[in-house]
Amino acid sequence: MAPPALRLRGVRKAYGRRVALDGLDLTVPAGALCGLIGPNGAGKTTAFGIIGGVVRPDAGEVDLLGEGPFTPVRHRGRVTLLPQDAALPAAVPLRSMMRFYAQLQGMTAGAATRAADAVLDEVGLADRAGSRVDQLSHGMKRRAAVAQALLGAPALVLLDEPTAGLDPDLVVRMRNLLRSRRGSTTLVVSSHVLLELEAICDHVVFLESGRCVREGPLAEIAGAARVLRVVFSAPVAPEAAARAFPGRAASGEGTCWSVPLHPGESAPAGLRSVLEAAWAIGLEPTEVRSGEGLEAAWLAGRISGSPPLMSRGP
Amino acid sequence: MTLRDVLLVARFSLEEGLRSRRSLVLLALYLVGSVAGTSILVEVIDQMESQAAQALAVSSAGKPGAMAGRLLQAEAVAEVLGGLLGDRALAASLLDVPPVALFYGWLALLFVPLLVALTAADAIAGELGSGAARFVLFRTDRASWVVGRAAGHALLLAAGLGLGAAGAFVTGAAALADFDAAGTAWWLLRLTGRAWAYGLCWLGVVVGLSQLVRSGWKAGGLALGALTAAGIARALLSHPKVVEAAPVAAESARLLLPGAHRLGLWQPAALPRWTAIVVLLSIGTAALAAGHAVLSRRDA
Repeated sequence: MAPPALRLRGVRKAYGRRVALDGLDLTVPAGALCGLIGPNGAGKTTAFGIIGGVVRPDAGEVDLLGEGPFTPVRHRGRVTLLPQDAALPAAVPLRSMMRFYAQLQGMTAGAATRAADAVLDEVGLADRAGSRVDQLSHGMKRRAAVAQALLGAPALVLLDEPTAGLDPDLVVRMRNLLRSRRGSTTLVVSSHVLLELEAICDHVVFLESGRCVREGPLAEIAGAARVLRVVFSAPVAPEAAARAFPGRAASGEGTCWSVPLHPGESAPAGLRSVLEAAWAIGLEPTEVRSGEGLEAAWLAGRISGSPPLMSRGP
Repeated sequence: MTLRDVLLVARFSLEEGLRSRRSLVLLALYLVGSVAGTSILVEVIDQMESQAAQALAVSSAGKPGAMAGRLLQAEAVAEVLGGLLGDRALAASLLDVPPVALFYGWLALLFVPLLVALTAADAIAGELGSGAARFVLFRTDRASWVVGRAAGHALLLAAGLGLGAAGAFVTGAAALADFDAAGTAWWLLRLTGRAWAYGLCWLGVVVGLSQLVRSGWKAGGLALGALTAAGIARALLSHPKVVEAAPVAAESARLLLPGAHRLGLWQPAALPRWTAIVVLLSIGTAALAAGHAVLSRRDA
């Protein structure tokens, strides 16, 4: 069995009196596209910094790709990072900069040029390869920053807010780009946009106050195996919902309702049963999704507040 | 630390420096200063020769420089200069240097610490502050990065000093009579190299300090503060009362300051000159290493 791509145990980091990470434990399976979710100040950026070797932990263990903590010599080119709010060198043309980073990853000059051109093409900046960074728009700079993290063939990529400041078209493009790397690369993505993470991730980690409060496969965390989310064409009264789904303890209001599956009931069987029951009393479902969704899972975790919310995957 | 990474970082830093508006403006100002300084020297020579010609009731030459060259070869000038420097051999060797090269050497040694402080203070701190360092530090180790950044700035400094020397040469060639082009070029090359060695010492100090903070402005303040403090310390340690009270301690402390070895760079004999260069490079390396000892333990 392949070792996890990333494993942190008891990682602690304080800046003076402020504790950024308070015994952080987390595991990201190899090949996963993992979402790191948490409010501002939860410790996401510090965690990325520690994993990438630019921030020194006060205590704890970090293991990357089963090879121990980050060292540039051991992990160069195989572990890459998109730091949050970091400015690329302003005065240098994009292609030169990418070539420089690629060469530092160990590539020859020729291979570095090819890798730089390929990754700039991938993020849609091929036509701006000769432009200086300070001549680019905010969105282009962000794409360039993502591009440097995808240079070559890294095994583990850490992306801190990769879509921050991008327009909707670019968000979709970036999402597809990350999806295309799934499997061959382990990606850990931090974002505040839970819907976006839900759309691409297969594994999630919830951070709060420097600790992991929940982690596991997305399907499990979002309750995909247990709940159906049904949207109706018109508001549904609680009595009507109770009549349509007897014994299922449906919850919700207005047009949106969550309907739990029976123990042992498969999702397709549950879906058929729920739809037939709704149609039987004249309700019109317009959308059905599997699971409560990340937002609900996150809010439930926050409201209940504290562990034990741990729900580790197998 | 790997040589390949150091060279890659140095080349990129040089490219960055040559494309940076601030660096280009500073190098241009240095070039203008060199040309303006040489022009003032030519003007002074011209006035001196005109007054001498008036006093002797002879007609002055069209271009300045012909009379001054001969005057500087006079035995009396060597004696006066030897008395001022306290070293007759040094005075005699200085009088052998063409005036433009001599002037540029003095100018470069005077201003190179300031040029280094203004161009290289943010070499590390600026990158840490902007976060640009984070794009590099998961690709190479901190020592390679710091040494590479310093090497890039060393090359930029060499380019600046070379540019200033070229400006002085062209100005002198255009304005002076009996201009010794070959001799001036040779001496400009030698003195530029010595000024570079002096600049490398200050570069080590400035980049060493740059590793202590996370802001280019703070690093600039530290660098200028270090220049000022070194000047004050040198003056204090050379004060007769201090020398009299603790001669060994004062001299030992003074030798730790880069300025104490500046005169050694002018020495005609190779041994004292190279001793000064080695000591200067050692001071710079020690300062760089001390800064790195701090950076290697802190967050980037």
